[in-house]
Amino acid sequence: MSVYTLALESSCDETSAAVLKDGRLVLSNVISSQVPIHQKFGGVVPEVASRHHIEQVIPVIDKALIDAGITLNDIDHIGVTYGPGLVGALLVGVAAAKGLSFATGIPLVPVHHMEGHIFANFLANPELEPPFLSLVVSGGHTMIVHVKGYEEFHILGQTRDDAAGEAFDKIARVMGFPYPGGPHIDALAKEGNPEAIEFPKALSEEGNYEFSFSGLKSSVLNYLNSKNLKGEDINKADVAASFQKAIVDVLVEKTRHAAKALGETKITVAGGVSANKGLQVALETMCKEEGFTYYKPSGILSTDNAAMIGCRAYYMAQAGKFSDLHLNAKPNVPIGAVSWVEAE
Amino acid sequence: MWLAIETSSLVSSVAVMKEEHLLGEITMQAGLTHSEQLVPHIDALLTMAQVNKRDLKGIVVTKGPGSFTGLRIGMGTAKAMAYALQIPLYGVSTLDGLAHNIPYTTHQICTVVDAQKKHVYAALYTYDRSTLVSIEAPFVIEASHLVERLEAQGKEIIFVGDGIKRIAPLVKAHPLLYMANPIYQIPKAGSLLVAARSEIAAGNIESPMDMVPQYIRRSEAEVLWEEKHKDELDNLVEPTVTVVDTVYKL
Repeated sequence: MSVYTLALESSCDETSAAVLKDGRLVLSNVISSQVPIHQKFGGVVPEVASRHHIEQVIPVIDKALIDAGITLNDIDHIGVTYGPGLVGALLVGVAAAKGLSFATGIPLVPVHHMEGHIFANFLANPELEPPFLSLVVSGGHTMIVHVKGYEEFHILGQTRDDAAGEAFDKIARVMGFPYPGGPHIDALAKEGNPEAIEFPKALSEEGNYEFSFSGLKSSVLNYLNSKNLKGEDINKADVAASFQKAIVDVLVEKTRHAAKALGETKITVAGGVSANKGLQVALETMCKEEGFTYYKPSGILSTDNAAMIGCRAYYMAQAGKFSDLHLNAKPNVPIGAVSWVEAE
Repeated sequence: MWLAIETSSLVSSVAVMKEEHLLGEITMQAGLTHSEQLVPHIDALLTMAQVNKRDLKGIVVTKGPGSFTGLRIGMGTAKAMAYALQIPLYGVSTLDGLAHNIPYTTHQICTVVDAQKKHVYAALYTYDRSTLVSIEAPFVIEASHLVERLEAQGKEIIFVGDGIKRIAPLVKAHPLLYMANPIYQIPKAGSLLVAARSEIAAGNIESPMDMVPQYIRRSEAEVLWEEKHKDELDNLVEPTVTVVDTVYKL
């Protein structure tokens, strides 16, 4: 008997629903993206995002079921992102998932958004099994996670201040790029010289797996301001390339050292920033040098989507991790937090 | 059997009705979040009233105005239940529901819902024999302007709704303006069912595919953006969501 998962994701500006078969086969993955709507505001507006989620939530569920060619009656469990994310946005997905679960009696699985990002790797790489090391980089998170098993995560270190994606977006905004700015920096960096400007790399001593990007951000801002004050020309491509190198070097070197220290030879990357070409190339090169195997969730699976939530939900359901109908959205919650109701 | 869900304010209220009879209602004003308590309350209500959810003929939910987040929790739950059970969904104005808290009065009824920043969402009603009729559709107004207007009207008016906290301090012992008792001030799902009768009878069914709350107010960010970009408004094309639909073949 096959196991079917229905999953919902609404933690930021994407409303998404997916259907999976046996945890790893994506039958459908429907994403309603609000990116064009938030562009004029220069970032995601929580109230605007929530208003679109309540409009989109049932249509995406309906489409995901139709595309998968199954009905609600065939679903074995419903996974939903309960955090972290924008609370008003999360609440829409959680309310809808609880309404479906209550009406049908289908069990509810409470999924952590970043655990979902890590599990996107299982969908993109069918042969991948734990243990492995995961570099998790997104607009809200930067961390190195040791995935010891499907239900065992150990965070080696995370950011003390800005997330990597946040730094990308802030610098992009100052340089005049529309939201989301990360991809613009990535594209521009290809044309510039990464050695042109030396920006600081914080906490780069070996054995330290924490990150800090606020000093780097200030340094880039100071560089741009002082050039402007002096009336000097700015080579934007060089700034983008040098800034990106400063971030990527730190991410890659810490991952290298962590893998060596733990003796892990499988490296995965997860989160929205994993789509950054500069980071992908650098990680791939590092893995070749060290003889590691490199896995990445290509394309749509690296962005916010419900299929990755469904994959995580499947493994949680296998482990008996279900929630009751009191489930609440949690805007700040660490990876590995207990969200399910412990069996008595 | 009809289920009603009211989460437009801090009060959480659910009720179930059989034909015209109220089988039960749970109304809580104890400071718990809607997200945590709403579905457990529906579960408890149906169990206590011995109603099988498969016997529900429809779900009634507050459309707004009210707390944006509260409205979305109620509507998200109602839409998902209506979709899963394949039963009709009905939307009722928060203000229509509140007006039905005050039965058969000769006073005018002014429903007021807190709209933040000294404002209230308001609507006016009166009874025509035993039928409540709307005099004025919902509008958003600064509380002091509403009080001035109604004081000048010289009619007996009873206020109902959580907007009273903005209205009451402004009404200084006016002989014709009354505040409903606090127990009648709060939105109740039972009153929502009374207000829903005409919608149900008329078959005004909402679809879970496109029903959205009636916020009345736009988001703060949109209002500020438009103030700053007045010259661009004429040519503005509002973008919409883009739906990506991916089916993987492994």
